[in-house]
Amino acid sequence: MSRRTFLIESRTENLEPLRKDLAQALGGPGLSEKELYGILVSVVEACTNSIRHAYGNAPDGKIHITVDDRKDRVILKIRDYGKKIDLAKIPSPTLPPVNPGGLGIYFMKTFTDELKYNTRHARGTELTLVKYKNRSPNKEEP
Amino acid sequence: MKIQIKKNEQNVTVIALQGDLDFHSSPNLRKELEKLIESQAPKIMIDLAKVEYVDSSGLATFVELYQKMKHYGAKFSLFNLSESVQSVFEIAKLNSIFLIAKTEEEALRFVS
Repeated sequence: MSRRTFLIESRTENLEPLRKDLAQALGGPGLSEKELYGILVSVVEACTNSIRHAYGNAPDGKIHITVDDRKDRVILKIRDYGKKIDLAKIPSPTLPPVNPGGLGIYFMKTFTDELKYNTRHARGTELTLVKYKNRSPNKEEP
Repeated sequence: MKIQIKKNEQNVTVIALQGDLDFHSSPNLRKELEKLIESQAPKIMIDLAKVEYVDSSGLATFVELYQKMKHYGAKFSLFNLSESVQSVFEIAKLNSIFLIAKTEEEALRFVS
């Protein structure tokens, strides 16, 4: 079991280096290349949401990403300290999408096995994503 | 992201991309595509061989391109996608409306 924490500021140029660091941190056994890719997409989508919606593209917000790599699962926590995300306002996308946008949360739900938002903190939102290892291929629908 | 644009003898615009296509890089690509749409480019092929990461922001750029090109009766095709990159198109079911080719030759057939 290993646990690593990353801290980025809410700037879009931090997304690619974060993805590369995460790929290195999660490169161990138990996840296929496609599953690892799905996890990376999910975390970057979550951070993109924090940058866009929680911090409204302000560049000085903090985002903590915790990677808990266990024998049977990977638990990822993405914590921001900006505006809370109201899940009720996020519609499910039509597929294939006719308009750009709206796929981020759908990807997170599809690529991971569990998704939970915690908005009970005094400030910001904590998103927990869980991906189980050594399981069947990704599900098609969330 | 590096964006290289050239036109071949068949009047097809071929765009080679290199790098991640995410929320950071997609506005630049969108800007370049806008110029091609303004000039009503009839056929566009996009080479993703050197793109190892595409997320929803990247897909949104292609959905926008698809809608605008459809509006003036033009076609675009994507080719050389890695298995991982292809998976995001499949999950969004965009493989049912986009012309996704394995090779440049196949992409050329799709837009011709």
